[in-house]
Amino acid sequence: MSYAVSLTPEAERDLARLPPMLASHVLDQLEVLAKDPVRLSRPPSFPHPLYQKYQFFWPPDAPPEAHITILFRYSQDETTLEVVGIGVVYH
Amino acid sequence: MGGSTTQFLSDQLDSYTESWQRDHADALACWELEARLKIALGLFQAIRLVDQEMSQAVAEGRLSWDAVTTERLVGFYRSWEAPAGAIVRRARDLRSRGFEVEGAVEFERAALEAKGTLNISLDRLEQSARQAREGKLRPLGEIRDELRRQSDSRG
Repeated sequence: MSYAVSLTPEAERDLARLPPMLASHVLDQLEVLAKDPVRLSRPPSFPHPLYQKYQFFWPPDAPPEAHITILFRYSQDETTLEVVGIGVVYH
Repeated sequence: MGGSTTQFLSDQLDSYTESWQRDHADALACWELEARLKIALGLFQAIRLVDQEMSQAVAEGRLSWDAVTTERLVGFYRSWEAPAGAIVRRARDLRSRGFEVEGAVEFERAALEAKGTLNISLDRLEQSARQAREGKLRPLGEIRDELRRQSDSRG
């Protein structure tokens, strides 16, 4: 089952802080996640037990320069992934 | 959740941190670094396991998510991550001189993951969670279209 994806204003601010190439990759990854969130995401854990985590490295096919964490939850009607945070750490 | 196990992990991490303070990473031979990377990666997996178990207990209502729980987990990740910069530098130095350092790539990935976990602001996350509860959300397609327009206008 594929899900819709939406972002809070705070998550949008996280996205806006990224370099354009990385921001575009994050949007692509959100579309990938939407197709199979159960398989791709990890169960809730620190820093918040209510949000699923989706993590990946950037760039995808070279030594990692950054690590991205996306925190999201399922909407109440379970049709949408609600993204509440996008964290990035650079080497 | 397993108070004695979290205490056990805490004790191991204290010892781990003290050991790295005593022995500088830049003096280690390749085999010594490899042995320590194995220990470091094992500890990281243990932290992840404790984290997931505690989170599961919260989700099932067996544990409350309070400041003490949060601080404890922050402390685990922080203790583990503290010597990571020096370890990564030493591993890169050895690799640049032609040594194969087993576990170095896995360690770098784990260090990035730990830093990423510590890097998320809990205050901002709470604010964002409130926005989600209030329905303040924008569809991904709309955001992508806006970024495209901005990119096109910059030419």
